[in-house]
Amino acid sequence: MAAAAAEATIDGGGKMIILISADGKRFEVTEAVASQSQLISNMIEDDCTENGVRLPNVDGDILTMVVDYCNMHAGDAAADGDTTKASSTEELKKFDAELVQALENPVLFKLILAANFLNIKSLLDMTCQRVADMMSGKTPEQMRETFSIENDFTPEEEAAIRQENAWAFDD
Amino acid sequence: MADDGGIIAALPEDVLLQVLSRVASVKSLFMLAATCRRWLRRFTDRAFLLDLWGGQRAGDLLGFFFHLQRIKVSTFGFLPVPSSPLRPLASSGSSNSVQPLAARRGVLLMRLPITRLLFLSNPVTGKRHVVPRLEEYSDLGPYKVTSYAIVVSDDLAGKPQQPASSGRFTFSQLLVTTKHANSITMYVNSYSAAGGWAAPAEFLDLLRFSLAGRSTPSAVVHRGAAHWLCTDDVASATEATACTSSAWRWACRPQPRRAFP
Repeated sequence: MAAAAAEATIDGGGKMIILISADGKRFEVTEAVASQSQLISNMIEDDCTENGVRLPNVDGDILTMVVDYCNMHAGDAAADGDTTKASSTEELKKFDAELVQALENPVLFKLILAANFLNIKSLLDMTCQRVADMMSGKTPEQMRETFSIENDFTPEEEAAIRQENAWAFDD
Repeated sequence: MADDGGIIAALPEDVLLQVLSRVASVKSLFMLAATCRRWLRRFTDRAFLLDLWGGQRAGDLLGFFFHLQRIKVSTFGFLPVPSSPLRPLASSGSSNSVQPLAARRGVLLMRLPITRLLFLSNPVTGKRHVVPRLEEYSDLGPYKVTSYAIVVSDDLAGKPQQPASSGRFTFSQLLVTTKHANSITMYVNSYSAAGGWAAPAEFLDLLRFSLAGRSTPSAVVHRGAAHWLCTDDVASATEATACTSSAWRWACRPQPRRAFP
């Protein structure tokens, strides 16, 4: 992921663009890869990627993950067949599963925010699903721990909620 | 940006809704609601729930939220209805679901599947009462129920003894109006937990009157009396009042003149 000249091309052809993270890291990707982000796709259409695309609210380490994801999935979007990195469906599934499993707070939430900001639907769907899965089967205590929620109920209130909602707490 | 709602609360609203709408079980959402005040507020906010479920699951009645005001800060409770997927009945299955018939002050009148027995239940207090079959107490023959009315304890006391939001009313009387084969009279049958079914009383002359409203019209219960709106097919509309005691009285009210015939 080293910085490179903005007008470089790779052997597969296709114009390259530079993404610049909040902390100044530069990522060189093909337009096909980058345009999985609806935000960047719009910028490419509007011809305003010449001097690189600054992403002031995405950190370098998060952008690394996003770029990796987009590189893997470039085959989905680009049907032209000129993407050398197009991956097989099984590889993709494996890659996605491993990525999602490895995600923990707060990186997961940063990735959600990045996917939302960059408007990459498939990545947003996948990460939102991960949070939803993390919620299932947890008690309020476990929820608080997982998602850093501070319990501001009085012990009486909490006891009342528990007592009145035995259906939820019983099994 | 994350305040007392934790890391999830920092998500933009549309992303938050995306996450929550993907949670497989409503129970997990309930557990989130029970973590702190912020989430409790959100999950008891009608607008938020509509955003979350708008149309999607609205067809399935899962249960009721109710407020508890016994302690200084009101908390809430959530109770699944008997047919709710959250509380599977012994005889679960979509075709066998319990049918709600009428409700007053949180007391529900429902009909059980298959046996078609009526039962009254207050989901908040958990009290249930199965009503014995009317036909075993009535000698008027086959009948068709035309309406229901539920009278709760506070109705009889004449004044409210507890706030309407407490949800802790107990059923006092059940009134059922019936039509019988080969009879020109509609009867009213009253049932109380203590006294069982009382002998049916004549209620409406069907040659002249009919109940106004849809297929099973509900009575309005006010100050211990159940009121049915009837249409006088001979003269004008009147209001029939059925007292909750064994005595019956009629209150006829001339219908306001209509601008058009």
